[in-house]
Amino acid sequence: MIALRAGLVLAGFLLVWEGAAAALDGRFLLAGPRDILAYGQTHAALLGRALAETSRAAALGYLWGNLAALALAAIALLMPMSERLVRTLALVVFCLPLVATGPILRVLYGPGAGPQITLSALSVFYTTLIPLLAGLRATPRVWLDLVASYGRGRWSALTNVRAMAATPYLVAGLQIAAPAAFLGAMIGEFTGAERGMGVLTLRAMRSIDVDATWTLATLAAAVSMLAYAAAGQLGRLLWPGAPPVLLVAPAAPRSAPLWQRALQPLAMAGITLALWHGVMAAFDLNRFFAKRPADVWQFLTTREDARDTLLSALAETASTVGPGYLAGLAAGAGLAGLCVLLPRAAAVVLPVAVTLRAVPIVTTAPLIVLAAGRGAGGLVAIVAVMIFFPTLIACLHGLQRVPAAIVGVFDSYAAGRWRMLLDARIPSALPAFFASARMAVPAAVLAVTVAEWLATGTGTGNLMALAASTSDYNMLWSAVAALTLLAVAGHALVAWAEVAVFARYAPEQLVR
Amino acid sequence: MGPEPSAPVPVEIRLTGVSKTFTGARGHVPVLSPMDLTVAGGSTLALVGPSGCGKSTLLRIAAGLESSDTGTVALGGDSPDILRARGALAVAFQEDALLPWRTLQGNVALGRRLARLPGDTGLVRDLIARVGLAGFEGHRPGALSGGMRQRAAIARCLATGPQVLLLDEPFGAVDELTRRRLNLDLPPLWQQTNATVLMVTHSVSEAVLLSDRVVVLSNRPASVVADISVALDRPRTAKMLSTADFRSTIARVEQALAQAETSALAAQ
Amino acid sequence: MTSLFSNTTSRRRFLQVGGAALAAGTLPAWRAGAADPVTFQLSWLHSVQFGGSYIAAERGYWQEEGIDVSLAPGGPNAPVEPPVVTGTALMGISAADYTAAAVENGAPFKILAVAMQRNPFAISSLPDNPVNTPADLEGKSIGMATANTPVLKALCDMNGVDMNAIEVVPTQYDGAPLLSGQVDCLLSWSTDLPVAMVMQGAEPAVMLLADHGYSVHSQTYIATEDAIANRRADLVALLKGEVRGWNDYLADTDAAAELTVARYPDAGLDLATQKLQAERQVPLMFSDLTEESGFGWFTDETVAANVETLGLLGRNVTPDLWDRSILEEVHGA
Repeated sequence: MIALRAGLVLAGFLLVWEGAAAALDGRFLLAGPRDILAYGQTHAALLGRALAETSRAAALGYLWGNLAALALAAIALLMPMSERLVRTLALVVFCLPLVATGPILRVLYGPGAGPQITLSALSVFYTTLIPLLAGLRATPRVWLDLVASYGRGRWSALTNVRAMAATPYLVAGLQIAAPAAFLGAMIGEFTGAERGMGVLTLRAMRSIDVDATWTLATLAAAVSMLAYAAAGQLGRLLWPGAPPVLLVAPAAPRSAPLWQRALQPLAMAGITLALWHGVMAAFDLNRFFAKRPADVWQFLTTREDARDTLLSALAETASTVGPGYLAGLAAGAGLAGLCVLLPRAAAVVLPVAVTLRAVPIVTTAPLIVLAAGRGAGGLVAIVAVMIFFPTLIACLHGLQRVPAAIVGVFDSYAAGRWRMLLDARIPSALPAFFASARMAVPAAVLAVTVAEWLATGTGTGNLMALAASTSDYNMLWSAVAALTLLAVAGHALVAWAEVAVFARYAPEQLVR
Repeated sequence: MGPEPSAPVPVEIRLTGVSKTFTGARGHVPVLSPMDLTVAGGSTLALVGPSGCGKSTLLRIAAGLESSDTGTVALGGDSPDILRARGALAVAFQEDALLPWRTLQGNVALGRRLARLPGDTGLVRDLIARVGLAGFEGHRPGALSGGMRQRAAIARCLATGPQVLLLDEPFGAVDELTRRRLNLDLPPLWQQTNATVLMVTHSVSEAVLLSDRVVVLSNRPASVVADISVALDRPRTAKMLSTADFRSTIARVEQALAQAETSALAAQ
Repeated sequence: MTSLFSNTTSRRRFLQVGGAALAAGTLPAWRAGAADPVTFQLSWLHSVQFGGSYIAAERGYWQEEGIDVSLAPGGPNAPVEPPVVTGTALMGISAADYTAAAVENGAPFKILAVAMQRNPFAISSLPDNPVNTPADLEGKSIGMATANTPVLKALCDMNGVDMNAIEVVPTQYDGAPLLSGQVDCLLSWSTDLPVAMVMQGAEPAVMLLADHGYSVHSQTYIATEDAIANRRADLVALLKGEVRGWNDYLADTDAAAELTVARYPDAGLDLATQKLQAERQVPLMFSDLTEESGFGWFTDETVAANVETLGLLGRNVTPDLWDRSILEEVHGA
């Protein structure tokens, strides 16, 4: 029965797709399933080799990125002092745009798959780290007391209790990471590779070979869906029972003295700058393209014209980040709500969502621009498509985490799905929602720059592309620093909202 | 076979001048007035008092899970931290605190694992049998009833052969019939080991049935209203429930409790 | 400045070793043997655009010169300049405008030779609404990357066209917007998107910017001053192979296309497309000047024309940017 329904959904999906392709015939925007099948058959060997190459890099990137997230989360938990630092540095690293990291990675690694693997790892570690940190904190107080009553410390709490309690959150992270890893590996090939799906995509787009472009996109989406499903399966293996009931006792939040709260951001900034300089110095990266903080400072303080250019571009970007961010967040959370209200809708929503996430935006952008135009609408739509996925997955996990006893209470009053969603599921999903809202901030900033480059040719995205092509690395790194500041500021705003909401609904999330 | 070679000397619990005030958004809330409390080694003391009077806080302070503002806690002359680090202390919480991903046997064994004692499957299975859960070793907590989960939590506490056992309303979540059963079945298990027990309960009859002394606390901030000895033989049996001694002790405790309530009302 | 761009073997070794540690063995092992390892940084993905280089590699021209050349492909996020600056690559393929910008930003580059004598930038349009002269641009919409705005502006300035009368539509580097009628014309290289359009059955009109005063050397060979001073022999050897390879290319462009497709089976290249591209490259790369003086040649006159166009692009350069001494050695031998 289920198989039959799934088959019907798939058939309907293929029909709509074929119809859309037929309607857009001659516009070189979309290929239908039949064309894709035909292309796949004639180019099977080439596609197989490319898929193997990119999958290998993606798998390694997935592995390293998630291991890094696990290690960082463990550090943050074992040394609570370091959590802010870990979060901030992770945010900063995640903010680095490809135009800045691409040349550095290629110079560091030389030829080979190094940059692809690294970019794949970079694109997954943050979206695993943030849910994981939330999950590691979403542990009932009494379990921690139990560990403490045997005189055991944080390590024991981590290995015996928190690690398992955080598993559902980790699984959410691993699922979000699956398509991101593949996309990261594909984009990594843009830094100069001999083979792979990214190389073929570039070639196909330049050759106006729509069949090839969409065959590649379909393959990428299929691989990502498999990886996504595998991560979910792994979660079910690791977590044999139902989700635990979160019975949490509120603890009095310890408020730091004012001078400490004021000093903390300064310390973060100092450490970030020191690391920026230190890493570049340690690898002896050439100052021509690897600008140090001092170079950027000097550039911005002495070149008034450049400062004005940057500021006006930044203002343009900042004005679109907000709408794009909110649109992406709303799309993700709204779709998650839809999947819970209408479980059958999930069968359609999830594959389409994974597809949109797994296909490089360069492939889908022309379609989006056609639908939403080249103005602000197109910009917001591209950003929403690029960032909604983590929110969807995280919220879906959160919405399904309602304790069975509470479900029972609502059932006993024959409360409807809506009532359950509003009064039980949404409050239980708040930690997951805010985790995804945090993740979405740097993603939105990066996405806006990409959208600016693809759709409108304005703002910081355009400025960075221009700076990279004309070796204006001072401007490029200034833009990177400015975007990072923008992301940090947005992040602080979300964190503030998070504290305000959790103070009411989920005090255990405030315990450090 | 006893759970673990019992400690040579029973450990005395001694709280001296312990007080606690919570600071929250609405200002300072004194929870415990400075108080002294001593539980003789190997004996059982029950704390009763009005809801929210600070009994559980006192217990957590005794366990070292919470610090007191003033005063000291000595368990056989050592701090709670030292006993916890030795694995000589165990707490049964109001909630069973069973980990949902571990089987019943895994949860009972967790006590030993956390106390860094070597695994002992024989002991664990024996304890599970003694708390009446034989046959459920492979079940996960989600598949057990409330009473069964409480038994499992007690078995986990006993798995380390603790010298100090702190029970925070361990049977608060189960029905009256089950509670009676557990009240009679379980105490002999820890009395064998000469453990010193401090327990918090809402049930007067449970307090009298299980303990050697009942201390009645006043409303917040808690102070000692009455200290009543229980002159019943060990082991306690179902028959004792109908004896005059038992009833008169209960009456004394209830009288003290009523006093505690009225004094609190008067104070307001 | 030299300390900023120190370019020693030890630095290169450090970078490579550091990279190797991170990449966990994704780097090729140091090649044994007498041949000098040399990395040559291409400006784009492998295609017949670099056909002459593949011929040089396949026919052993570089081996004969005693160097072992690895050809590093480029890509949209693989700028040529950083590897050349750091010395990871001995020589790179750039263009005069990009090289001028890099030099302005402190890179010690010289242009050693010029593969594309005539700039490949072109404006393509469909035959029923063609752009045959710059004046035709007025009133039309043009799809292009906004980064290329200075190029369009220079063209307008040189030909007295009102740039405000042109609607610039930011697009990806993609021919579809033209074929699907979203724009009237498209700025791209004459050797890629128009070729793709022909392969899709369209017959685009192609107006080469070089025919309307836009003189910017493209596919230029660049190296650092340090390399010119200290690795001169390797540079001469590298360019010698290039010259021989490109001369062979001219003799048989189809063979060059076939070799390219065979050499890079994973690059997704289509033979027919490559053959057409190879053919269309010829008039850009070979001229009376190269016939007379040899592949890659440039003169004071062509340099002066470049300096002038670059000025319109906002790049103030002097003829010092070009250094013909290596090429003279190559052709003199």
